[in-house]
Amino acid sequence: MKEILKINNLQKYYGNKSNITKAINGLSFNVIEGEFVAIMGASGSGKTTLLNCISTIDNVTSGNIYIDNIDITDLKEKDVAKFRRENLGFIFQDFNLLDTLTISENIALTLTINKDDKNEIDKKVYNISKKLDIDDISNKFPYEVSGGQKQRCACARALINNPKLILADEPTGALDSKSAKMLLETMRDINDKLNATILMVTHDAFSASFCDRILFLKDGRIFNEILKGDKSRKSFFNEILDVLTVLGGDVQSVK
Amino acid sequence: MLSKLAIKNAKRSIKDYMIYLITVTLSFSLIFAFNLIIFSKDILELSSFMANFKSSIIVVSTIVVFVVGWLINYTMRFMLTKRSKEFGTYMLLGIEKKQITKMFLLENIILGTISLILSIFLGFILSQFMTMFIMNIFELPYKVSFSFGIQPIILTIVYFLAIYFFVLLRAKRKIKKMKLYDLLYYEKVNENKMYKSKKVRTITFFISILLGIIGLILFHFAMVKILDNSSNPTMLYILLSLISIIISIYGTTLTFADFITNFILKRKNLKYNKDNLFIVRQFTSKVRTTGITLGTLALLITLTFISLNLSNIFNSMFKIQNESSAPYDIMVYNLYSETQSEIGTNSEHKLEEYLKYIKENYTIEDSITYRVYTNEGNPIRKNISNGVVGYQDVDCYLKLSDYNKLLKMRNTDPIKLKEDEFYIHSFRDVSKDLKIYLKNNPDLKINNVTLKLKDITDYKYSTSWSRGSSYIIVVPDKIINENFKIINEITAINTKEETTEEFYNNMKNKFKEKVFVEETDNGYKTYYSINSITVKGAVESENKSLITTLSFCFMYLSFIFIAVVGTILAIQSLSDSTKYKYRYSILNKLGVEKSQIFKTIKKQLILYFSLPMIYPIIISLISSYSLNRLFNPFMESDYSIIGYVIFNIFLFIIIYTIYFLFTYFGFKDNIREETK
Repeated sequence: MKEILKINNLQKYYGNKSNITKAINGLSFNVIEGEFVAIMGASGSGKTTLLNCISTIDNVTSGNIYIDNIDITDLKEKDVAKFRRENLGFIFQDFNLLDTLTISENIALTLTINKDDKNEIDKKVYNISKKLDIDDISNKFPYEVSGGQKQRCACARALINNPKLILADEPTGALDSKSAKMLLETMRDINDKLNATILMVTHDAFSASFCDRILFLKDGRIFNEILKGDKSRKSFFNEILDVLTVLGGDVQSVK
Repeated sequence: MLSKLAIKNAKRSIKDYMIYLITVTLSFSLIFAFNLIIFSKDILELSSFMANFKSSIIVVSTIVVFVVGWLINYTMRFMLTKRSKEFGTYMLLGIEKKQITKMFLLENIILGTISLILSIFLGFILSQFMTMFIMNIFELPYKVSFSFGIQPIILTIVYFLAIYFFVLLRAKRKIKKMKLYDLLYYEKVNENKMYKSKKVRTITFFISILLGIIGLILFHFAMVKILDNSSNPTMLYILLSLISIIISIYGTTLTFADFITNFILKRKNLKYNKDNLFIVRQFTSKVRTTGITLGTLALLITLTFISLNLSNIFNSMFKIQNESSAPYDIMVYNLYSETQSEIGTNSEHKLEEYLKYIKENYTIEDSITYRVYTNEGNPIRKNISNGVVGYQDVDCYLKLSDYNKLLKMRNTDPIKLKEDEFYIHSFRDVSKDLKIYLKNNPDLKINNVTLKLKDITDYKYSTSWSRGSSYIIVVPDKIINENFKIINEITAINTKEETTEEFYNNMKNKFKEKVFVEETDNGYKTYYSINSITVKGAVESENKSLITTLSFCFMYLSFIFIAVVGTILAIQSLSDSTKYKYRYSILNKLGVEKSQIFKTIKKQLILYFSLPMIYPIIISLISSYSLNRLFNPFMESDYSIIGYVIFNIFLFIIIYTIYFLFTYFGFKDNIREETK
C-alpha cells in the first residue's frame, strides 16, 4: 500500500520564549492511499493546527510532513502554492465558494488556476457535477442554492483535480442534519468509488463514524486510534462515543 | 468618554479614509484659494473685465460646493454602512442611539475641521501660485503678498458649514431610522442587485449605444447649424443631444460590464484563460451593485473632459483673436460708406483730431492710412458662401504697396507681385473653399485686365485689415483705378509705448460715434454705431480677462471632478478589499500564488477604474470633430482641437493614475495579511 501522507514527529509551537503553547507536540502517523481518516479532538487539541500544517497554510516548528514522498516542510515559498494546487483538495466548514461565480464556474476555477486544457474544462466539470448530483444547479449562484448543495459543490471543486489528498475541515459544521448525512454519504462514495484519500477534521462523532479510521488528539498528541474494520457503523459510532467519554477527562480528574 | 471614543475613531478613520480626507482638504484649499483671488484688489484691478471673473468663480464655487457636498455625503453614508456593526455593538452594550449619533457626528466634525484648517494654509499657498499665473497672463511682475481680508475666510467657512450642515443632518436622520437589527446586519443588505434578465441588459446596452450615437450626431448638426446662423433649432438640437448623451452614459455604464461578461463567458478560450473568469465575475458583480454611482462618475468625467477642452479652446481662441483683431497698437476706421457712392465718416470727428489726441498721449513710431476698395461683379464673393464671416458682401481689394506696409508693421516679410498677378490673404475659415474655387478659376478679370493667382495664404490673417470681410485681394497698385469704389479708409498706428484700456475709454468718450438708423420692413428702427477705433491694450485686456476667467473656471471644475471621481472609486475599492478579503484567501487556498493574486487585483482595479472613463474618452474624441467644425477658424491649425483633446485625456489619466496607484497599494496592503 502506498503511503500518501506520512507525518514524522511533528511539532508546532506558538508564542514567545516566556510563554510557549505547544499546539502539536510530537505527532506521527501515516495515511495510506484510499483511506478515509478522521481526526477528532476537543477545541484546542491541535486538530486545526495540524490541518493547517498539512495544507501548507502554516509552517511547522519541527518534524516532517511527507505527501506522496515529498517533504512539504522543505518546499520553497514560491513552490508552495503550486504544490497545493496540484496535490491537495480542500473542503471547508463555510464552503469557501466564491459568491460571484456560478456553481459550475466555482468548480472550473480550480482547473483554470491549474491551466488545464480549455476545451476539456467544461466536460470535466460536467462529469464531476453529474457524479455529485449538482449538474442541474450548475448555472446558479451559491446564494441561490442550499447549504448541502454548496458543500457538494465544494467537494466537486476539491475532487476535480484528482488530488492526492483531500483535506476536509469540519465539512458538516454549517449543515443541518439531513444535508450533513447526504454530504457524508457523498464523501464515503467518493472514497469508495473514486478511491480518493480523505483526511477529515471533525468534533462530531456522527461524521466520524463514516470513516475507516479515527485518530483522537489531545493536547497536541495522539491519544487513541480506532479502526472501523468490519464493524457496522452503529457499533463504530458507539465505540467513538466511548473514546470521547474517556477523552473528555478521567473520573479521577473530577474531584 | 464619548468624545474620547469619537477622537479615537476619528484617528482610525484618518487611516481608512486618507484619500478622501486628502481630496476634501484639496477641494477646500482650492475653494479658499479662489476666494482669496477674487477678493484680491491686485487681481480685480488688472482690468475692468475682471469683475466677470469674480462672479464666474462664485458660480463655479457653488457648483464645486455641491459636488464636494455630494462626495462628503456619499462617503459619510458609506462610513455609516461600513461601521453599522460597530454601532450595533455599542447599542448592545447599552449606549443610547442619540449618543452614538452624537459620537458619529462629532467624529466627522473633527475630521472636517482638520481638513478646513489645513486647507486654509494650503489654499493660501495655492492662491500665491495662481496669482503668479494670472500675473503671467497679463505679463506683469509678481510679488508675494501676505495681506488678505476676512471675507475670503468667511466665505470659505460658510461653504464648509453649508455642506456639513446638510450632510450631518442627513446622516443623523439615517441613523435615527435604523433599528438595532438593521445595524447589526446592515452589511448583508448592502448589495441590492439589479435582477434583470440578460436579454433586458443586452437590449439596454445597445439602445444606450444607439442613443449615444444619436446624441453625438445631433450635437454635430447643432455645431453645423450655428455656422449657418439659423440659430432657432440649434438650442433644441443641443438640448436633445445632451439628454440622449446623459441617458446613454448611464445606460452603457450600467450594462457594459454585463455585455463584456456575456461575451467572454460564451467563449471557452477567453473564459478559461488565466484569471479571466474570476475577474470578469468580480467586475460584473461590482458594477451591478454600484452601477448608478459609476454612471454619475462617468458623467462627471465627461464634464471634466468638456471643461478641459473648452478651457483650451477658449484660451487659444482669445489668443488668436488678439492677434487677429488688434495686430497694431491703434487703428482708426475713419471712413465708412454705406451706399458706396458717397464717402461718409462714422464719427463726427476728423482723422486729424484723432491723430492729434493720440500724439498727445503716445509717441507714434509708424503709421499708415490706406483704403479698401471694391469693384463691380464680385466674382469671388458670389461663388463663395461657406464659412464667410462678416457683413461685407463684396470683394475687398488692397493695393500691394499698402498691404506690404501693413505686413512690415507686423514684422512680416513683404510679397512681390508681377503686373498681371493677384494674391489672396484670407481667414482660415474660408481658405479651403477659396482654394477649391481658385483652383478651377485661377484668373481674375478686373475691368478688362486678367490677373493670375500668385498665391493664397491664411497665415495670421487680420480681420482689421478690411473690416467685415474674411479675405482680401491684393493687386498691383496700378490695377486700382477710378472704377474701384472706396469702402473703407483705415489708419494703422504703432506706438512706442504700450497702449492701455484706460486710453481706449478716454478716446471713446471724447470721440462719439455716429448713430445710424436703419428701418426694417415691419417699420422697426434699429440704431447702431460702428466702432471707429481699436486699441491693442483694450482688446488684450479684455481677452486676457476672458482667458483668465474661462481657463481658471474650467480648470477649477475639472480638478474637483477628477478628484471626486478618483476618491469615490478609491473608497469603494478599498472597502471591498476588507469586505471581500475572503475571496482572495479562497484563491490562495486553491493554490494561486501571492504574486499572481496581486496581478489579478491590479487587473481588476484597472478594469474598475477604466469603466467610467472609456465612454467619456470616446465622446470627447468624437465631439472634438464637431467642435472642430465650429471653432476651427479661430484655432491655430486644423489639428489644434484634436491636439487639445488628446492632451487633456493624458492630463486626466495622469491625475487619475495617482488615485489608482494609491488604491492599488492600499488594496495590496489589506490583502497581504490574508494570503501566504
